[in-house]
Amino acid sequence: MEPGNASNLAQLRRGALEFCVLALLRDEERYGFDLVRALGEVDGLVTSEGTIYPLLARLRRDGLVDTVWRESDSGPPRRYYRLSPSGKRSLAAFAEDWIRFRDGVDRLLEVGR
Amino acid sequence: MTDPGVASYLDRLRAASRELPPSRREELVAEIRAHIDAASSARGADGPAAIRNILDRLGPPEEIAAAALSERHSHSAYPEPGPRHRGLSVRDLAAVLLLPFGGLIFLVGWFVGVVLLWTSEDWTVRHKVIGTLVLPFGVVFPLALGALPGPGQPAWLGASIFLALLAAPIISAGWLASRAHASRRPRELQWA
Repeated sequence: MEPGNASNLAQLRRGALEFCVLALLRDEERYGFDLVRALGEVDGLVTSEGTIYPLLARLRRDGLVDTVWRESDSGPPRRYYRLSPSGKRSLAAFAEDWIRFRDGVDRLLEVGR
Repeated sequence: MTDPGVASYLDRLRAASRELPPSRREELVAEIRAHIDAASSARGADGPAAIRNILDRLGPPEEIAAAALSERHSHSAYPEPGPRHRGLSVRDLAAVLLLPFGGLIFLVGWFVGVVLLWTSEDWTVRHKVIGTLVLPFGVVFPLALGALPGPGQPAWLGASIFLALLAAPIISAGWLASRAHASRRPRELQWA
């Protein structure tokens, strides 16, 4: 791991990423590529798109998302993800903590200027 | 038709994820393959340049494999408090019951309890040592001793020692039950 600020930011990004996935699934179900494309629209959130798939596998294993296979118009069936009840609770808990954390850091950064 | 670039990319991914269980490895390869298919049909271009761009965005296969290996052992930073994270597994429960009472099953039960205790990942070595030493054979020792008449011993002293020896293995088992999984918690709280 590279030292310095880049690595600190990478650490934060990695911690927040799974909740960004859960947040994208809050209102609709999505399949893998669709999720990756939506995450890719957030600047600097994902560096290697392929690493999203192992993360999705863990969210499945931990029961934070449910999955269902659906036929697609073009090509083979796709695995769709949706938020499970436990994923919903996890997302709500994170969102609350995140807002407190973000506001606290923002306040300190403002003071420092 | 499989693009040669895609085939060699997937081969590298398969090689890099050798340490994953075979079913998990094939699932990962299938997911990445499905991503490449979806991405190339979404962009309406599957020429070599478009494919190269898709593979570049996916990142090095070695990095994906490394992520898959590290995700296998990590947990969400916000674990759902449920039977999987809290409470005793059946194995741990058996250990906690066999340590104090297993000795009553021809002494063998206690040995089974010790084996279950030491092979569990939910206790630290300190817990295991205390669980084993307090008391060997659990309640069998005080029960056998209590049955013996204490010569020249005041009745209250004998009764107190008997009760203390009887309580010790039960308290130590209860303590073990409350400490199970304690060794895992710090890892769940990590961000990375």
